[in-house]
Amino acid sequence: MARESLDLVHGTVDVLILRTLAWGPMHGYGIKTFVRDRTSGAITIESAALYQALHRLEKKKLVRAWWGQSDTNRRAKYYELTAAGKRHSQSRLDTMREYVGALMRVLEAK
Amino acid sequence: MRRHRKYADVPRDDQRVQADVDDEIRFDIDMRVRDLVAQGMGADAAREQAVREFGDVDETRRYCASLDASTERAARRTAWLDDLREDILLAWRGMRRAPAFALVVLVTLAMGIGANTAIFSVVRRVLIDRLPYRDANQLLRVYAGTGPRGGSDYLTARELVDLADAPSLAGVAAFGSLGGATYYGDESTDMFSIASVTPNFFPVLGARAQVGRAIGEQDLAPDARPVVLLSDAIWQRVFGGDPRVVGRSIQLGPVSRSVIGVMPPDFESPTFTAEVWIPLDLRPFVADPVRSRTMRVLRGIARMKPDVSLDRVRSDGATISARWRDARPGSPDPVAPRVVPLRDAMVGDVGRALVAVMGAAIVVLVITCINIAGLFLARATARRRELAVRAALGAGRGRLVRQLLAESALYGIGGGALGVGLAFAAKRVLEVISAGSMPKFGEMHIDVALLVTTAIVSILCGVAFGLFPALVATRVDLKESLSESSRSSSAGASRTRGRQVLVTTQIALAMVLMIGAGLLLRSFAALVTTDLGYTADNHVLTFRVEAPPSLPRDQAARNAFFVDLLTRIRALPGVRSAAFTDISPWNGPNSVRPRIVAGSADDVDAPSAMYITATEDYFAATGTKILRGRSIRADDRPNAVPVALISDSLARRLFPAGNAIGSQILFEGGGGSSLDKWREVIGVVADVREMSSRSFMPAVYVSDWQEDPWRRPEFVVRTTGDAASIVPALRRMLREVSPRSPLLVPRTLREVMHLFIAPQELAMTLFTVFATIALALAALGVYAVMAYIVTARTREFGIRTALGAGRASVMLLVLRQGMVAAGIGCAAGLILSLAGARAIEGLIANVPAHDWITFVAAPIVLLGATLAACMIPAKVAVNVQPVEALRAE
Repeated sequence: MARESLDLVHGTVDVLILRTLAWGPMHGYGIKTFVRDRTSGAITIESAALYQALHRLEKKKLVRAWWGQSDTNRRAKYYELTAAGKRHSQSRLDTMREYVGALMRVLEAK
Repeated sequence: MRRHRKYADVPRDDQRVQADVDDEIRFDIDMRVRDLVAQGMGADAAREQAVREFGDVDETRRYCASLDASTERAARRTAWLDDLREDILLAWRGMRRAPAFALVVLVTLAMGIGANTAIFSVVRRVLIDRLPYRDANQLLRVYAGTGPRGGSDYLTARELVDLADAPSLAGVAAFGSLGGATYYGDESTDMFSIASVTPNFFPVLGARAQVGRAIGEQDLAPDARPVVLLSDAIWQRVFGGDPRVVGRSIQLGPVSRSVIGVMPPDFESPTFTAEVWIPLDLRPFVADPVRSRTMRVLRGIARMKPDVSLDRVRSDGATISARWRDARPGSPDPVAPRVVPLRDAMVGDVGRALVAVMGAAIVVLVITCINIAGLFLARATARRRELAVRAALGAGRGRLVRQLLAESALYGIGGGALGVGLAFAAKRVLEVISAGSMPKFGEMHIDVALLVTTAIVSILCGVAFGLFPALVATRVDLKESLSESSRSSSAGASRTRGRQVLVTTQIALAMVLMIGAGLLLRSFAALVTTDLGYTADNHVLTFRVEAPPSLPRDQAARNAFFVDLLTRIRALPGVRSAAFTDISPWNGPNSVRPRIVAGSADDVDAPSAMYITATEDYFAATGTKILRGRSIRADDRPNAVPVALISDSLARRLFPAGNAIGSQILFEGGGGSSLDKWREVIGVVADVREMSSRSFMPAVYVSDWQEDPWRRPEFVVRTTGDAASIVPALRRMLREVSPRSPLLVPRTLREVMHLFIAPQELAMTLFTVFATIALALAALGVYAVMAYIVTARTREFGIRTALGAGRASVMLLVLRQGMVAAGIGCAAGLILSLAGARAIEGLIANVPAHDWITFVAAPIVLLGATLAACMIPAKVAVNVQPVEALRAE
């Protein structure tokens, strides 16, 4: 992913994470797998960006985390949405819809 | 519990945070490796690809860890606040559950903190705050004489001039207190206390007038009008704060003076009281070669040059002292200048009293804390089950200690708030007790700084009395505490020992206060009952009367006026005898002390004596015994033979052969004044003490009629009943005789005496109050502990009784336990007191610091009180019925 459009990248990654967690608590690798599977591999979140985003969201109290047991019986850090996170993800979703719509209008303009 | 806390519950350090981040990253990579391997990739290649895919691992590690660390800190803060809120809530509920307990704790604490706040506020003002003068630490009071109390407040003009030459001094100013001056207003007369000051007095203090100007050199010019400078208090009270008063003339005593200015409200004359000031001209004093060396009527203040030490001033003083010795060769008591920092001079005995009282207040607070600690300990023990339950639910010991501490801190704050209220109330009481002994700036004043100090002290107290019980109470054995019969298992030897240590400490501290109070009481009793040589009781009234301004200023007219007045006073109902004097042994340090010569005028060993003027009946009115000869008679008038009575010690000194009566004496160095004449000794009277220093002073009494006219004599009236009750009749009579002559400062000799012993009285009163509180608290502490021990051992006592132990042996068992603690406490207290008595040595007179009566009586009282406190639980123990005791559990 291009370094220069960091804002867009950050914003997009954040929305992806928040929308994914709306399905339920997951660990980082789970989120990554979920996004990749959902988009049939079209979108892959880079791990470095994912974890930085997760910790940032945790600090903002949009997600909370705890250590749990993964299905492979390993200690794994799980994340879930907080109430604030749910509200935030909804508003970000609206913004993103608008943004993508606008983008598409430009791109599809004949 | 709250889910989001799960993560924050266990605080993590930075290392742990990094480890968690690394764990998370490793988990991600491992999962990716597993998936890649599952897709058929070789293990090494899979790991290589997973790491590559991850992106910047190092940057992520650093970034996440630093984010988490700051999240962690924030969470810790929130958690701490949450816990605090919870602690306070729990404490508040605890208070409401046990209102009686809360009340006892709060009231006890409020008393301890209130006393400290009230006294500290005064201590701060008197001993710590800045004096209301510029660079006040450079200011000194100057005395003549040596020793702590010896010598005189008063200097001669020569001495003052010599002192001004001292290279270490920037200025020396003189003042003389003139007592009261009558102000004749348009409608009423009033009395101002008045002082004369040299023109450099205000510049030396660094004080300026708020309206007009202060006294200056121009007021001593040959053509200068008489002037007066007003204090703010007089300006407000008499002249309504009208600035136009400057320039107006007012009648003060016999002189009309023009007002030149008003001093600011916070200005106070150092070491003396004055409501108005007039100029003092030293030149006539200095010009007279004899009087300049003999007239001890001036008092001095000085300012050191900046950066000069007190030692430098003192060594200059020694040089001057040598000069003074040369001026009076062979003098038996060479006079040396003595300099004292102005604050010490202003504060005097009150300072020492305050420090001692502050110490006592702190000790009371410590006893209070120990007592409350005992109460908390007892309650914490009763709450062991509650604490055990909380511990079982996962609260750590630190958390429990914090909960208990929060509770005690809340009590501390509550007690502190009540204490400030009490301090306000105590302010009145303190003002009454300290009236007359406190410099004006020592008035109590409660401000923010004081409240902050009190708040800190309150919280510290809370922690102080809460910490020990909290530590003991949280040492819970879960299994033991939760099992129902926990009480029957022995109360825990260590816990009992803890209580006994608390009680012993309280008794020891109470002992110290009681010894202090005892010493002060004994000393005060000695002060009050000291034989002064005259009866300082409420049967003797003294007052001054000013001759009306219309009276011609000559001796005959003045004498006629006052003789008439004396006759009328004698005629008042209830009056037994009446006389007047102008210098008396109770009027502050006696200012005129001529040396008395018998026979040869060159006698270098001539003793100095108090010079007291008296009229007939003076000795009857004061109660001073005439040992030999006769009293002054009405016909000892100016044209008759000058007469004198001398005190016993002076008679023995001057006339060892016992031939005093009929001999002649001369005041040395009268230098042409009315003092300068041979007088015939007509009588010998008992020795008297100067009231301020309580020391015997040889005295000479002369007939007032034969001395310089004095416009405002002091009357001495002995009455059959309470002397103060004749004041209204006196005023009525005076209004008829001379409407413009007010009755000035009427007070009984007892009141006068109390002014002099006020600092001792202040210390004694407060010490006694504190010692009583300490005694009560200590007895309460003993009672509480013994009651606890008896309850804890109910079963044991039951068994003992069942096995045939007599009532006496059970009672002895209990009493012995209590009295051993009391005995150790007393012994420790006595040792502390032996050392501590030195601290109040300056306040006790006539009683040795290790006065054995006090050191015997105080332990007896204290042991008696603790014995009484032990008796109640002991009786309970004796009455334990074996069956009940065994059934109780």
